[in-house]
Amino acid sequence: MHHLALERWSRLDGPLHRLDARVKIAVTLALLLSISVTGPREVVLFTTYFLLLCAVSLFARLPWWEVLARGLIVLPFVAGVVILNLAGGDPVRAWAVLARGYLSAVAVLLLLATTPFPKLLRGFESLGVPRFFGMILHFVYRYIFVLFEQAHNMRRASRCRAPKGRRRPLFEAAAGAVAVLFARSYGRAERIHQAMLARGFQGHFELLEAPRAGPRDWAFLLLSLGFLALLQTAR
Amino acid sequence: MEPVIEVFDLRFNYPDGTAALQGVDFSLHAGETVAVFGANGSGKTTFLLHLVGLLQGRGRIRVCGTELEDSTLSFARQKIGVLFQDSDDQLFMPTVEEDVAFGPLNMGLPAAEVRRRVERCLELVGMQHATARAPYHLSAGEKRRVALAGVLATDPEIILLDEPATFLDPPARAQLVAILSSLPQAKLIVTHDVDLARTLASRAVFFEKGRIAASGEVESIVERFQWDTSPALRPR
Repeated sequence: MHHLALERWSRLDGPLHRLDARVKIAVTLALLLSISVTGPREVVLFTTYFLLLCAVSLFARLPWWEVLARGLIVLPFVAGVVILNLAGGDPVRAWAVLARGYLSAVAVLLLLATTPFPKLLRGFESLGVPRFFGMILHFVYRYIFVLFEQAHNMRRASRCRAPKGRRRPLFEAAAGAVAVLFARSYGRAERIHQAMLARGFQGHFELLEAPRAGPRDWAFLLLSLGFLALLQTAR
Repeated sequence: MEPVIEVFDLRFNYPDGTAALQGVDFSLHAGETVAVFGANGSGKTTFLLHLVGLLQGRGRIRVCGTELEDSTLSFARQKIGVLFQDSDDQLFMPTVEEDVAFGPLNMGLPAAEVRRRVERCLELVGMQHATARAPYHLSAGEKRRVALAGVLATDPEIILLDEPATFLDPPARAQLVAILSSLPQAKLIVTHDVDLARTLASRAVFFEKGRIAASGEVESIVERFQWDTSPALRPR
């Protein structure tokens, strides 16, 4: 878990990585909106978005084939809607759902792959998302590695003691392990809170540095939004 | 000179009724390093948590001459830094720099002063190259050093350390001992590591069932309670 591909990619140093997180968030949201309003028969536009995302991956110095492959993670989530549309005799709409889902997933992946998670959270905070919500996400992200490691260790220990071929004891052990994991997580949360109080925490998080956008960031924002607007008007 | 920490008849029961502390009297002087020995469950960590007001029992605690109460918790927490046993509990910010800056920012210091302290403390622990790194990418020894930097950044007069050498390999342990021995602050070290106590501490106390059973020189406490079992573990 410590070496998730997205985590690694987000810490590279490329032209997109250096852009202000807020600008990238805004452009991504605009792109998602553009994709969502694209009509089901506008194949040229869908293709243009796909080529645009490929180009962005290359520009960001990411392994573009891996980025595109990881976009397929959205398939299980849209499969139901796609199947329903196919069953209802509307293959065009089914294809549109698939295309929109996939392109949106790749767009979000590119945002995550070019912006370290802490900066992403700061960007959302600057754009008005409540800081408390951002800090909850931060803590989840920070400690999910620890949680998975504990779960992995518990599973390994239980398998060392589990007789082969008997599902029920394994299931019961898993249920117990989940309860223990929850209790441990609760205990850790208490200890983290104690550590925060010991360092003078007063109930709100202070920032060391507020994000600042420069001319390059604004230029990227304007060009991107302009391009997306052009694509929409040229339909 | 007045002690920096004074404890008078400290008593504490956990909600389940466990009597964790049963009348503890203790004092710590400026610049002194005291080791705290005792079996697991004898009340050592519980005692430590009381000194910064994270637990509140009966009795009196004075920190740098000020009575520890709800209204003086902020003062006490500026005077005392705590290095917890598990560094993952203590490193909760997204980057090393932000984590070390957490304490000074909560003190209301200006950004320039915070950055200066962050730089100084990370340099002191040899982690100045890691400012932009995420804490979960660090090794156990590196996490411990960054956690210590975060404690030092508030310029405490007293440092409480809860089993600081736990999870550390020998080289990391040696690095930590070297850093701790260079710090002028008064230190209270809860530890099972007798050699660490011998190196750093001038005095030791022994906790037994929620009380301080003895206090004195490190070697005399170790001998009296037969606390150094390492010779018995060596191959014959």
